[in-house]
Amino acid sequence: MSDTLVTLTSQEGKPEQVPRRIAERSTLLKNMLEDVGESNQPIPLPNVSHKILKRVLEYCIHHKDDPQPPSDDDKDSFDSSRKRSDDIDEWDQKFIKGKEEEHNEELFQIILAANYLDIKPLLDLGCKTVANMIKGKSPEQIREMFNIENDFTPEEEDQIRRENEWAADA
Amino acid sequence: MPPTTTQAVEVPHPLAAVLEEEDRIYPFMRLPDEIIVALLLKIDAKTVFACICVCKHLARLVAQNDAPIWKPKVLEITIDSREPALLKHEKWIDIYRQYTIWSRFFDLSRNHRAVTLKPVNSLPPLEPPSSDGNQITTRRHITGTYKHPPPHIDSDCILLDKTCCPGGNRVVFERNGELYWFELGSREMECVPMEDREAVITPFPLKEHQRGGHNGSEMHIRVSTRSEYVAVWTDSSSEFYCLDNGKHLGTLEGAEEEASLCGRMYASTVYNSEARSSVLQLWQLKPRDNLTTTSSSSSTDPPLDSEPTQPRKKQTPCFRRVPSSTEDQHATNPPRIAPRGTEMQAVAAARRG
Repeated sequence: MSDTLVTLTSQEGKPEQVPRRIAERSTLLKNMLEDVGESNQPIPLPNVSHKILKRVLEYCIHHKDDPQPPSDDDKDSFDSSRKRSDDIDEWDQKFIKGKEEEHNEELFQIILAANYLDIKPLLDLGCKTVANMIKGKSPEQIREMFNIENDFTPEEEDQIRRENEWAADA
Repeated sequence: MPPTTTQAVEVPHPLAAVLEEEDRIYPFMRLPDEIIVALLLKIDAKTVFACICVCKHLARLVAQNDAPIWKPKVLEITIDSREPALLKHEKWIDIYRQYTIWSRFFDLSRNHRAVTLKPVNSLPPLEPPSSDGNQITTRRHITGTYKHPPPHIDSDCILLDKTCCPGGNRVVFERNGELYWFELGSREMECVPMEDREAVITPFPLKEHQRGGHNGSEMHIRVSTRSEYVAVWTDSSSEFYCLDNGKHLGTLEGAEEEASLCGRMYASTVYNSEARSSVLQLWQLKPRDNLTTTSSSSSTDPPLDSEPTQPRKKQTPCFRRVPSSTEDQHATNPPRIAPRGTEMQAVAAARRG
Protein backbone atom coordinates (compact mmCIF):
# COMPACT_ATOMS: atom_id res chain seq x y z
CA MET A 1 0.00 0.00 0.00
CA SER A 2 2.82 2.36 0.83
CA ASP A 3 4.17 1.83 -2.68
CA THR A 4 1.03 3.24 -4.31
CA LEU A 5 1.71 6.34 -6.35
CA VAL A 6 -0.17 9.50 -5.57
CA THR A 7 -0.62 12.32 -8.07
CA LEU A 8 -0.30 15.87 -6.79
CA THR A 9 -1.26 18.78 -9.00
CA SER A 10 0.54 22.05 -8.43
CA GLN A 11 -0.83 25.55 -8.76
CA GLU A 12 0.05 25.52 -12.45
CA GLY A 13 -1.90 22.28 -12.93
CA LYS A 14 1.27 20.27 -13.47
CA PRO A 15 0.98 16.75 -12.05
CA GLU A 16 3.70 15.26 -9.87
CA GLN A 17 3.70 11.58 -8.99
CA VAL A 18 5.10 10.46 -5.64
CA PRO A 19 4.89 7.30 -3.59
CA ARG A 20 2.12 7.56 -1.05
CA ARG A 21 4.66 7.06 1.75
CA ILE A 22 6.41 10.27 0.66
CA ALA A 23 3.18 12.23 0.31
CA GLU A 24 2.19 11.16 3.81
CA ARG A 25 5.00 13.21 5.32
CA SER A 26 2.39 15.91 4.89
CA THR A 27 -0.25 15.60 7.58
CA LEU A 28 -2.74 17.29 5.28
CA LEU A 29 -2.22 14.76 2.50
CA LYS A 30 -2.08 11.88 4.95
CA ASN A 31 -5.47 12.79 6.39
CA MET A 32 -6.90 13.32 2.93
CA LEU A 33 -5.61 10.01 1.62
CA GLU A 34 -7.02 8.27 4.66
CA ASP A 35 -10.38 9.95 4.14
CA VAL A 36 -10.51 9.23 0.44
CA GLY A 37 -9.18 5.69 0.65
CA GLU A 38 -7.81 3.96 -2.44
CA SER A 39 -8.25 6.39 -5.31
CA ASN A 40 -6.28 7.42 -8.35
CA GLN A 41 -7.73 10.90 -8.38
CA PRO A 42 -5.02 13.57 -8.56
CA ILE A 43 -4.90 15.88 -5.56
CA PRO A 44 -4.83 19.57 -6.51
CA LEU A 45 -2.61 21.83 -4.45
CA PRO A 46 -3.63 25.31 -5.60
CA ASN A 47 -1.50 27.07 -2.99
CA VAL A 48 1.77 25.50 -4.00
CA SER A 49 3.72 26.32 -7.15
CA HIS A 50 5.32 23.47 -9.03
CA LYS A 51 8.78 24.68 -8.25
CA ILE A 52 8.09 24.80 -4.52
CA LEU A 53 6.25 21.48 -4.64
CA LYS A 54 9.36 19.88 -6.14
CA ARG A 55 11.47 21.40 -3.37
CA VAL A 56 9.08 20.22 -0.67
CA LEU A 57 9.03 16.72 -2.13
CA GLU A 58 12.82 16.75 -2.23
CA TYR A 59 12.70 17.35 1.51
CA CYS A 60 10.09 14.63 2.04
CA ILE A 61 12.12 12.10 0.09
CA HIS A 62 15.25 12.80 2.08
CA HIS A 63 13.33 12.48 5.34
CA LYS A 64 11.13 9.56 4.30
CA ASP A 65 12.49 7.31 7.04
CA ASP A 66 12.27 9.83 9.88
CA PRO A 67 9.82 9.02 12.63
CA GLN A 68 6.57 10.91 12.22
CA PRO A 69 6.41 13.95 14.42
CA PRO A 70 4.26 13.49 17.50
CA SER A 71 0.58 14.26 17.18
CA ASP A 72 -0.92 17.49 18.44
CA ASP A 73 -1.41 15.96 21.88
CA ASP A 74 2.33 15.89 22.39
CA LYS A 75 2.78 19.25 20.77
CA ASP A 76 4.13 20.90 23.90
CA SER A 77 6.95 18.48 24.44
CA PHE A 78 7.79 18.55 20.76
CA ASP A 79 7.83 22.32 20.78
CA SER A 80 10.18 22.52 23.70
CA SER A 81 12.55 20.04 22.15
CA ARG A 82 12.91 22.17 19.03
CA LYS A 83 13.11 25.58 20.65
CA ARG A 84 16.75 25.94 19.87
CA SER A 85 17.48 27.19 16.42
CA ASP A 86 21.17 26.38 16.22
CA ASP A 87 20.92 22.63 15.80
CA ILE A 88 20.00 22.33 12.15
CA ASP A 89 21.00 19.14 10.38
CA GLU A 90 23.65 19.62 7.69
CA TRP A 91 21.54 18.36 4.80
CA ASP A 92 18.61 20.50 5.95
CA GLN A 93 20.83 23.53 6.13
CA LYS A 94 22.03 23.02 2.59
CA PHE A 95 18.51 22.26 1.40
CA ILE A 96 16.90 25.33 2.91
CA LYS A 97 19.69 27.56 1.70
CA GLY A 98 18.72 26.78 -1.88
CA LYS A 99 19.97 29.10 -4.57
CA GLU A 100 21.53 32.18 -3.08
CA GLU A 101 19.83 34.77 -5.29
CA GLU A 102 16.29 33.67 -4.53
CA HIS A 103 16.92 32.50 -1.02
CA ASN A 104 14.47 34.79 0.75
CA GLU A 105 11.62 34.38 -1.67
CA GLU A 106 11.92 30.63 -1.84
CA LEU A 107 12.42 30.25 1.88
CA PHE A 108 9.17 31.99 2.66
CA GLN A 109 7.31 30.04 0.03
CA ILE A 110 8.63 26.80 1.45
CA ILE A 111 7.49 27.92 4.91
CA LEU A 112 4.04 28.74 3.57
CA ALA A 113 3.83 25.43 1.71
CA ALA A 114 5.00 23.51 4.77
CA ASN A 115 2.37 25.29 6.79
CA TYR A 116 -0.33 24.56 4.23
CA LEU A 117 0.64 20.95 3.76
CA ASP A 118 1.22 20.61 7.49
CA ILE A 119 4.75 19.23 7.41
CA LYS A 120 5.90 20.17 10.89
CA PRO A 121 9.62 19.41 10.65
CA LEU A 122 9.92 21.40 7.44
CA LEU A 123 7.96 24.30 8.88
CA ASP A 124 10.21 24.12 11.88
CA LEU A 125 13.30 24.13 9.69
CA GLY A 126 12.03 27.20 7.87
CA CYS A 127 11.25 29.02 11.10
CA LYS A 128 14.63 28.16 12.54
CA THR A 129 16.30 29.50 9.43
CA VAL A 130 14.42 32.78 9.57
CA ALA A 131 15.11 32.98 13.31
CA ASN A 132 18.82 32.58 12.62
CA MET A 133 18.63 35.28 10.00
CA ILE A 134 17.19 37.89 12.34
CA LYS A 135 19.07 36.86 15.45
CA GLY A 136 21.03 39.76 16.87
CA LYS A 137 19.86 42.13 14.14
CA SER A 138 18.71 45.66 14.78
CA PRO A 139 15.15 46.75 13.99
CA GLU A 140 16.43 48.54 10.86
CA GLN A 141 18.28 45.47 9.65
CA ILE A 142 15.20 43.31 10.15
CA ARG A 143 13.04 45.80 8.25
CA GLU A 144 15.49 45.93 5.42
CA MET A 145 15.97 42.19 5.25
CA PHE A 146 12.27 41.44 4.88
CA ASN A 147 11.07 44.68 3.35
CA ILE A 148 8.94 45.56 6.37
CA GLU A 149 7.43 48.99 6.51
CA ASN A 150 8.05 51.01 9.65
CA ASP A 151 4.53 52.13 10.60
CA PHE A 152 5.43 53.82 13.87
CA THR A 153 5.25 57.57 14.16
CA PRO A 154 8.59 59.10 15.19
CA GLU A 155 7.20 59.66 18.71
CA GLU A 156 5.93 56.10 18.98
CA GLU A 157 9.21 54.75 17.72
CA ASP A 158 11.18 56.87 20.16
CA GLN A 159 9.10 55.60 23.06
CA ILE A 160 9.10 51.96 22.04
CA ARG A 161 12.85 52.06 21.57
CA ARG A 162 13.45 53.57 24.95
CA GLU A 163 11.36 50.85 26.49
CA ASN A 164 13.00 48.01 24.70
CA GLU A 165 16.55 48.82 23.84
CA TRP A 166 17.90 49.33 27.30
CA ALA A 167 16.51 46.07 28.55
CA ALA A 168 17.83 44.34 25.48
CA ASP A 169 21.47 45.21 25.87
CA ALA A 170 21.72 44.08 29.44
CA MET B 1 -4.35 25.79 9.77
CA PRO B 2 -4.39 23.62 6.69
CA PRO B 3 -7.83 23.06 5.27
CA THR B 4 -9.11 19.61 5.97
CA THR B 5 -12.21 19.63 3.86
CA THR B 6 -12.11 18.47 0.28
CA GLN B 7 -13.71 21.72 -0.81
CA ALA B 8 -10.53 23.61 -0.21
CA VAL B 9 -8.61 21.47 -2.63
CA GLU B 10 -11.20 21.57 -5.33
CA VAL B 11 -11.43 25.32 -5.67
CA PRO B 12 -8.31 27.01 -7.06
CA HIS B 13 -7.42 30.13 -5.23
CA PRO B 14 -8.48 33.08 -7.37
CA LEU B 15 -6.05 35.38 -5.63
CA ALA B 16 -3.12 33.02 -5.91
CA ALA B 17 -1.24 35.14 -8.39
CA VAL B 18 -1.77 38.33 -6.41
CA LEU B 19 -0.77 36.64 -3.22
CA GLU B 20 2.31 35.23 -4.83
CA GLU B 21 3.37 38.68 -5.91
CA GLU B 22 2.75 40.01 -2.41
CA ASP B 23 4.74 37.15 -0.97
CA ARG B 24 7.61 38.13 -3.15
CA ILE B 25 7.55 41.78 -2.13
CA TYR B 26 6.62 41.44 1.53
CA PRO B 27 7.60 37.89 2.30
CA PHE B 28 7.74 38.25 6.03
CA MET B 29 4.50 40.08 6.65
CA ARG B 30 2.58 37.63 4.47
CA LEU B 31 3.36 34.83 6.87
CA PRO B 32 0.36 33.75 8.93
CA ASP B 33 0.44 35.04 12.50
CA GLU B 34 0.95 31.61 13.97
CA ILE B 35 4.14 31.15 11.97
CA ILE B 36 5.50 34.51 13.05
CA VAL B 37 4.69 33.58 16.63
CA ALA B 38 6.45 30.24 16.20
CA LEU B 39 9.38 32.28 14.95
CA LEU B 40 9.27 34.64 17.91
CA LEU B 41 9.40 31.64 20.21
CA LYS B 42 12.70 30.63 18.66
CA ILE B 43 14.62 33.86 19.04
CA ASP B 44 16.49 35.26 21.97
CA ALA B 45 15.14 38.04 24.14
CA LYS B 46 17.32 40.69 22.59
CA THR B 47 16.01 39.93 19.12
CA VAL B 48 12.43 39.87 20.39
CA PHE B 49 12.98 43.33 21.80
CA ALA B 50 14.30 44.37 18.40
CA CYS B 51 11.25 42.84 16.71
CA ILE B 52 8.96 44.91 18.93
CA CYS B 53 10.64 47.97 17.45
CA VAL B 54 10.27 46.84 13.83
CA CYS B 55 6.59 47.51 13.20
CA LYS B 56 3.23 47.61 14.91
CA HIS B 57 2.18 44.19 13.71
CA LEU B 58 5.19 42.51 15.28
CA ALA B 59 4.83 44.56 18.45
CA ARG B 60 1.20 43.46 18.68
CA LEU B 61 2.03 39.80 18.14
CA VAL B 62 4.65 39.94 20.88
CA ALA B 63 2.15 41.58 23.23
CA GLN B 64 -0.58 39.07 22.38
CA ASN B 65 1.71 36.15 23.06
CA ASP B 66 3.22 37.42 26.25
CA ALA B 67 3.27 34.20 28.23
CA PRO B 68 4.44 31.81 25.47
CA ILE B 69 7.27 34.14 24.49
CA TRP B 70 8.42 35.56 27.80
CA LYS B 71 7.62 33.01 30.43
CA PRO B 72 10.25 30.52 29.21
CA LYS B 73 12.76 33.36 29.04
CA VAL B 74 11.98 34.39 32.59
CA LEU B 75 12.34 30.81 33.78
CA GLU B 76 15.62 30.61 31.92
CA ILE B 77 17.24 33.45 33.81
CA THR B 78 16.02 32.41 37.20
CA ILE B 79 16.57 29.08 38.76
CA ASP B 80 13.99 29.71 41.39
CA SER B 81 12.15 26.53 42.12
CA ARG B 82 8.96 28.45 42.58
CA GLU B 83 7.34 29.96 39.56
CA PRO B 84 7.18 33.72 39.71
CA ALA B 85 3.61 34.83 40.25
CA LEU B 86 2.27 37.66 38.16
CA LEU B 87 0.70 40.55 39.91
CA LYS B 88 -2.51 41.98 38.52
CA HIS B 89 -1.91 43.70 35.17
CA GLU B 90 1.63 42.46 35.19
CA LYS B 91 2.98 40.78 32.11
CA TRP B 92 5.79 38.32 31.67
CA ILE B 93 7.69 40.82 29.61
CA ASP B 94 7.63 43.16 32.63
CA ILE B 95 9.04 40.41 34.79
CA TYR B 96 11.70 39.75 32.20
CA ARG B 97 12.59 43.43 32.03
CA GLN B 98 12.79 43.66 35.78
CA TYR B 99 14.95 40.59 36.01
CA THR B 100 17.24 41.92 33.32
CA ILE B 101 17.58 45.18 35.16
CA TRP B 102 17.98 43.27 38.35
CA SER B 103 20.77 41.20 36.96
CA ARG B 104 22.76 44.37 36.49
CA PHE B 105 22.91 44.80 40.20
CA PHE B 106 22.73 41.33 41.52
CA ASP B 107 24.05 37.99 40.55
CA LEU B 108 20.95 36.04 39.65
CA SER B 109 22.83 32.87 39.09
CA ARG B 110 21.76 31.44 42.39
CA ASN B 111 18.22 32.35 43.16
CA HIS B 112 16.64 35.71 42.86
CA ARG B 113 14.46 35.18 45.88
CA ALA B 114 17.00 33.47 47.98
CA VAL B 115 19.02 34.63 50.85
CA THR B 116 22.47 35.17 49.49
CA LEU B 117 22.65 37.59 46.65
CA LYS B 118 25.89 39.08 45.60
CA PRO B 119 26.02 42.72 44.54
CA VAL B 120 27.49 42.93 41.08
CA ASN B 121 28.52 46.51 41.22
CA SER B 122 29.11 48.06 44.55
CA LEU B 123 27.17 50.86 46.07
CA PRO B 124 28.75 54.25 45.80
CA PRO B 125 31.06 54.48 48.76
CA LEU B 126 30.00 56.72 51.55
CA GLU B 127 33.09 58.81 51.82
CA PRO B 128 33.37 61.59 54.32
CA PRO B 129 31.92 64.66 52.63
CA SER B 130 35.32 66.19 52.15
CA SER B 131 35.47 64.20 48.93
CA ASP B 132 33.50 65.49 45.97
CA GLY B 133 30.35 64.37 47.62
CA ASN B 134 28.54 63.28 44.51
CA GLN B 135 27.26 60.05 45.89
CA ILE B 136 26.19 61.59 49.09
CA THR B 137 24.24 64.15 47.18
CA THR B 138 22.49 61.56 45.07
CA ARG B 139 21.67 59.47 48.05
CA ARG B 140 20.23 62.46 49.77
CA HIS B 141 17.75 62.62 46.93
CA ILE B 142 16.08 59.49 48.15
CA THR B 143 13.25 61.35 49.72
CA GLY B 144 9.78 62.05 48.59
CA THR B 145 7.14 59.82 47.10
CA TYR B 146 8.15 56.63 45.45
CA LYS B 147 6.34 55.14 42.54
CA HIS B 148 6.13 51.48 41.87
CA PRO B 149 6.79 49.95 39.54
CA PRO B 150 8.79 52.18 37.25
CA PRO B 151 6.85 52.74 34.03
CA HIS B 152 9.91 52.44 31.89
CA ILE B 153 13.23 51.10 32.91
CA ASP B 154 15.62 52.77 30.57
CA SER B 155 18.96 54.43 30.42
CA ASP B 156 17.63 57.53 32.15
CA CYS B 157 17.17 55.57 35.32
CA ILE B 158 19.79 56.33 37.91
CA LEU B 159 20.39 53.81 40.61
CA LEU B 160 20.11 55.46 43.98
CA ASP B 161 19.86 52.66 46.41
CA LYS B 162 19.81 48.95 46.46
CA THR B 163 19.26 46.63 49.28
CA CYS B 164 19.91 42.99 49.27
CA CYS B 165 18.94 41.25 52.39
CA PRO B 166 17.48 37.98 53.47
CA GLY B 167 14.07 37.51 51.99
CA GLY B 168 14.20 40.15 49.36
CA ASN B 169 15.84 42.89 47.43
CA ARG B 170 14.97 46.37 46.56
CA VAL B 171 16.23 48.93 44.12
CA VAL B 172 15.47 52.63 44.07
CA PHE B 173 15.79 54.61 40.88
CA GLU B 174 15.52 58.18 39.95
CA ARG B 175 14.24 58.97 36.49
CA ASN B 176 13.69 62.50 35.26
CA GLY B 177 13.43 63.77 38.80
CA GLU B 178 10.96 61.13 39.95
CA LEU B 179 11.66 58.30 42.29
CA TYR B 180 10.81 54.71 41.57
CA TRP B 181 11.43 51.46 43.26
CA PHE B 182 10.84 47.85 42.71
CA GLU B 183 11.35 44.81 44.75
CA LEU B 184 12.00 41.20 44.26
CA GLY B 185 11.46 38.92 47.13
CA SER B 186 9.04 37.25 49.38
CA ARG B 187 5.89 39.23 49.55
CA GLU B 188 5.86 39.17 53.34
CA MET B 189 9.06 41.10 53.55
CA GLU B 190 9.14 44.85 53.49
CA CYS B 191 12.30 46.79 53.10
CA VAL B 192 12.83 49.82 55.23
CA PRO B 193 13.30 52.74 52.86
CA MET B 194 16.76 54.21 52.97
CA GLU B 195 15.67 57.44 54.54
CA ASP B 196 13.84 55.65 57.31
CA ARG B 197 16.72 53.48 58.32
CA GLU B 198 18.00 53.99 61.76
CA ALA B 199 21.39 53.21 63.01
CA VAL B 200 21.11 52.10 66.60
CA ILE B 201 24.52 52.20 68.12
CA THR B 202 25.45 50.71 71.42
CA PRO B 203 28.82 51.03 73.00
CA PHE B 204 30.42 48.07 74.70
CA PRO B 205 30.64 46.39 77.00
CA LEU B 206 27.88 44.04 76.62
CA LYS B 207 29.93 41.27 78.01
CA GLU B 208 29.40 38.79 75.25
CA HIS B 209 30.57 41.32 72.70
CA GLN B 210 33.87 42.08 74.23
CA ARG B 211 36.67 41.05 71.98
CA GLY B 212 39.74 40.25 73.94
CA GLY B 213 39.16 43.14 76.29
CA HIS B 214 38.89 45.72 73.53
CA ASN B 215 36.43 48.50 73.73
CA GLY B 216 34.09 49.09 70.89
CA SER B 217 30.62 49.71 69.61
CA GLU B 218 27.94 47.82 67.89
CA MET B 219 25.56 49.26 65.36
CA HIS B 220 22.31 47.79 64.14
CA ILE B 221 20.44 49.00 61.09
CA ARG B 222 17.09 47.49 60.39
CA VAL B 223 16.75 47.10 56.62
CA SER B 224 13.62 45.05 56.38
CA THR B 225 10.95 43.55 58.53
CA ARG B 226 13.10 40.51 59.01
CA SER B 227 16.67 41.53 58.75
CA GLU B 228 19.20 43.98 60.03
CA TYR B 229 22.75 44.83 59.29
CA VAL B 230 25.18 44.78 62.14
CA ALA B 231 28.54 46.40 62.42
CA VAL B 232 30.83 45.80 65.33
CA TRP B 233 33.96 47.84 65.92
CA THR B 234 36.62 47.62 68.48
CA ASP B 235 39.74 49.71 68.60
CA SER B 236 41.56 46.97 66.76
CA SER B 237 39.07 45.32 64.45
CA SER B 238 35.71 45.51 62.80
CA GLU B 239 33.11 43.00 61.75
CA PHE B 240 30.03 43.28 59.62
CA TYR B 241 27.29 40.78 59.26
CA CYS B 242 23.60 40.40 58.77
CA LEU B 243 20.91 39.10 61.03
CA ASP B 244 17.96 37.39 59.41
CA ASN B 245 15.16 36.94 61.91
CA GLY B 246 17.82 37.13 64.56
CA LYS B 247 19.95 34.48 62.89
CA HIS B 248 23.56 35.30 62.19
CA LEU B 249 24.37 35.32 58.49
CA GLY B 250 27.99 36.19 58.52
CA THR B 251 28.66 35.44 54.90
CA LEU B 252 26.06 37.69 53.38
CA GLU B 253 28.25 39.80 51.18
CA GLY B 254 25.66 42.43 50.45
CA ALA B 255 24.95 42.87 54.11
CA GLU B 256 28.59 43.08 54.91
CA GLU B 257 29.07 45.74 52.32
CA GLU B 258 26.09 47.75 53.37
CA ALA B 259 26.96 47.46 57.00
CA SER B 260 30.51 48.45 56.31
CA LEU B 261 29.32 51.50 54.43
CA CYS B 262 27.15 52.51 57.30
CA GLY B 263 30.04 51.66 59.51
CA ARG B 264 32.29 54.01 57.67
CA MET B 265 29.69 56.68 57.93
CA TYR B 266 29.45 56.10 61.61
CA ALA B 267 33.15 55.87 62.05
CA SER B 268 33.63 59.18 60.37
CA THR B 269 31.16 60.76 62.71
CA VAL B 270 32.87 59.35 65.74
CA TYR B 271 36.53 59.56 64.97
CA ASN B 272 36.80 62.76 63.04
CA SER B 273 35.10 65.79 64.39
CA GLU B 274 35.36 67.73 61.17
CA ALA B 275 33.95 64.90 59.11
CA ARG B 276 31.35 64.31 61.74
CA SER B 277 29.89 67.78 61.59
CA SER B 278 29.93 67.70 57.79
CA VAL B 279 28.22 64.34 57.70
CA LEU B 280 25.69 65.49 60.20
CA GLN B 281 25.06 68.50 58.07
CA LEU B 282 25.01 66.75 54.72
CA TRP B 283 22.93 63.86 55.83
CA GLN B 284 20.97 65.92 58.28
CA LEU B 285 21.66 63.42 60.93
CA LYS B 286 20.48 64.35 64.34
CA PRO B 287 21.59 62.84 67.57
CA ARG B 288 18.63 61.29 69.27
CA ASP B 289 18.41 63.26 72.44
CA ASN B 290 15.91 61.05 74.14
CA LEU B 291 18.38 58.21 74.09
CA THR B 292 20.80 59.76 76.45
CA THR B 293 23.23 58.28 78.83
CA THR B 294 22.74 54.64 79.53
CA SER B 295 24.41 52.75 82.29
CA SER B 296 26.88 51.20 79.90
CA SER B 297 27.73 54.16 77.75
CA SER B 298 29.18 56.42 80.41
CA SER B 299 31.83 53.95 81.41
CA THR B 300 32.79 52.64 77.98
CA ASP B 301 32.93 55.19 75.23
CA PRO B 302 34.27 54.30 71.84
CA PRO B 303 38.02 54.74 71.76
CA LEU B 304 38.82 58.23 70.75
CA ASP B 305 42.47 58.44 71.63
CA SER B 306 43.51 59.05 68.06
CA GLU B 307 41.43 62.19 67.91
CA PRO B 308 42.20 64.31 70.87
CA THR B 309 40.13 67.19 69.54
CA GLN B 310 37.07 65.01 69.32
CA PRO B 311 34.60 65.86 72.02
CA ARG B 312 33.87 62.78 74.02
CA LYS B 313 30.45 61.44 73.47
CA LYS B 314 28.54 61.17 76.63
CA GLN B 315 25.40 59.87 75.04
CA THR B 316 24.68 56.88 72.96
CA PRO B 317 25.21 58.08 69.42
CA CYS B 318 21.97 57.04 67.82
CA PHE B 319 21.34 58.81 64.60
CA ARG B 320 18.48 59.03 62.29
CA ARG B 321 18.62 60.51 58.88
CA VAL B 322 16.08 63.22 58.47
CA PRO B 323 15.24 63.84 54.85
CA SER B 324 15.57 67.48 54.01
CA SER B 325 12.26 67.80 52.22
CA THR B 326 10.34 66.41 55.12
CA GLU B 327 12.28 68.04 57.86
CA ASP B 328 9.39 70.09 59.09
CA GLN B 329 7.25 67.04 59.65
CA HIS B 330 9.97 65.34 61.54
CA ALA B 331 10.61 68.33 63.69
CA THR B 332 7.13 68.09 65.12
CA ASN B 333 7.28 64.36 65.64
CA PRO B 334 9.47 62.95 68.34
CA PRO B 335 12.13 60.65 66.95
CA ARG B 336 11.23 57.03 67.03
CA ILE B 337 12.71 54.97 69.78
CA ALA B 338 14.05 51.66 68.70
CA PRO B 339 13.43 48.81 71.13
CA ARG B 340 17.06 48.82 71.99
CA GLY B 341 17.26 46.82 75.14
CA THR B 342 15.19 43.88 74.05
CA GLU B 343 16.66 43.93 70.60
CA MET B 344 20.19 43.87 71.84
CA GLN B 345 19.42 41.06 74.20
CA ALA B 346 17.78 39.07 71.47
CA VAL B 347 20.72 39.74 69.23
CA ALA B 348 23.15 38.78 71.91
CA ALA B 349 21.22 35.63 72.62
CA ALA B 350 21.07 34.78 68.95
CA ARG B 351 24.77 35.27 68.55
CA ARG B 352 25.55 33.17 71.57
CA GLY B 353 23.32 30.41 70.22
